[in-house]
Amino acid sequence: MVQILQVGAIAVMTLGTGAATLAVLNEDMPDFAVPEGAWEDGSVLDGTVFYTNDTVIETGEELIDEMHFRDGTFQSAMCQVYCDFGWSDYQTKEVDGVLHFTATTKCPDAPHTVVFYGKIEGEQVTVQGTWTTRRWYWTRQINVIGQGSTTPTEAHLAQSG
Amino acid sequence: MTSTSSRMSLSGLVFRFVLLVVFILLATWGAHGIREALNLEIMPENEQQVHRSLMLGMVAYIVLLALPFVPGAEIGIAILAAFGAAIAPLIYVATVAAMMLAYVIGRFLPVSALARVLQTLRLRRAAQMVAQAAELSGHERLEMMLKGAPGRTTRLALRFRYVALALAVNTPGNSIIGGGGGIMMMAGLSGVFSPIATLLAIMIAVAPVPLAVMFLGLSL
Repeated sequence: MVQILQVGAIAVMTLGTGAATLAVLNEDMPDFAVPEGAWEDGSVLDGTVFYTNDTVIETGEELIDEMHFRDGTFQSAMCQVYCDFGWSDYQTKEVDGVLHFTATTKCPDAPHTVVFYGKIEGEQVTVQGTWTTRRWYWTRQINVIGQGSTTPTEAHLAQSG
Repeated sequence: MTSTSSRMSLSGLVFRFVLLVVFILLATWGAHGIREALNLEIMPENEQQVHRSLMLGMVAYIVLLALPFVPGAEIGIAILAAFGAAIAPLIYVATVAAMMLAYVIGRFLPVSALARVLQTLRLRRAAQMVAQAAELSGHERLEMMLKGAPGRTTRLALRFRYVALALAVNTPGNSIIGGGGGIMMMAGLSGVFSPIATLLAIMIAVAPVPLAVMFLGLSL
């Protein structure tokens, strides 16, 4: 019994020290810093779909995405492939005639947080954002930039089948 | 004649040094090659699989590293080479956990049972080492580890046993005397290492490589 307690105490001591070490050494990466401003709950983009061509800055990988807006919520078709993010609230603001939007989506099954920030001029959109994964032992982040419009390209049509 | 032999020994030294540099370059190139071949860029589409593989790999790493005569440190360095600095904290913690697991096994598992387990695992040398240690007292076991060393070294090692433990765990090629797992198991068996001081010694002993990778950005 005493031995079991001693083993338990050593295990708790080792795991506790390990957890504390990881908490100190695991450096967090902040999500994309969305500019502050008079953000309002989204509604003006409801019914809009933007077809974008995105690039992962770290790898140069090209991605095709569809950004859907409905009932004050937002969904990225590309993100749905990797995790069922569902629909997330979005906000908008207007600055010098340019409509800005932002949405933060969280994966319910894994510690992924994706932040989108876009600017809309006419039918054209430019977007940027981050995909951050916060595991207990490390934090990984990829940065994405992209542009698109409300008109799908052949690649978008081919992808959506 | 002396001049010729000294010239030869100098050229031999230079040759060995060049050979070492070539080996390090080839090993670095090989590690990067493996990393690229495995396409270990962590993206949303593969992050879940990488996470699961890492968790399984860490369990295997801890168990392997705790076993005597398994060159586990090399496995850790290979994982560092594959995943880079971001994985260094996890490798560090897993290495400390593995060392403490070996220590706990050595300290609390009945020696005869431990010898049988190692024999079943076909780790014959380790089983033999444990069987020999079973019949000795605590200090005799520690001295068995230091057998063959000059008396002064033994006395110093006993006096500064935590420093000696840290050095032994860190010595390259220590797998021929049991590896990190074997050394820690024997430390536990000896009964002369207290848990808290051992944990502190191990936390310092295994820190250099992961912390250098993390803070100095050294790439393997």
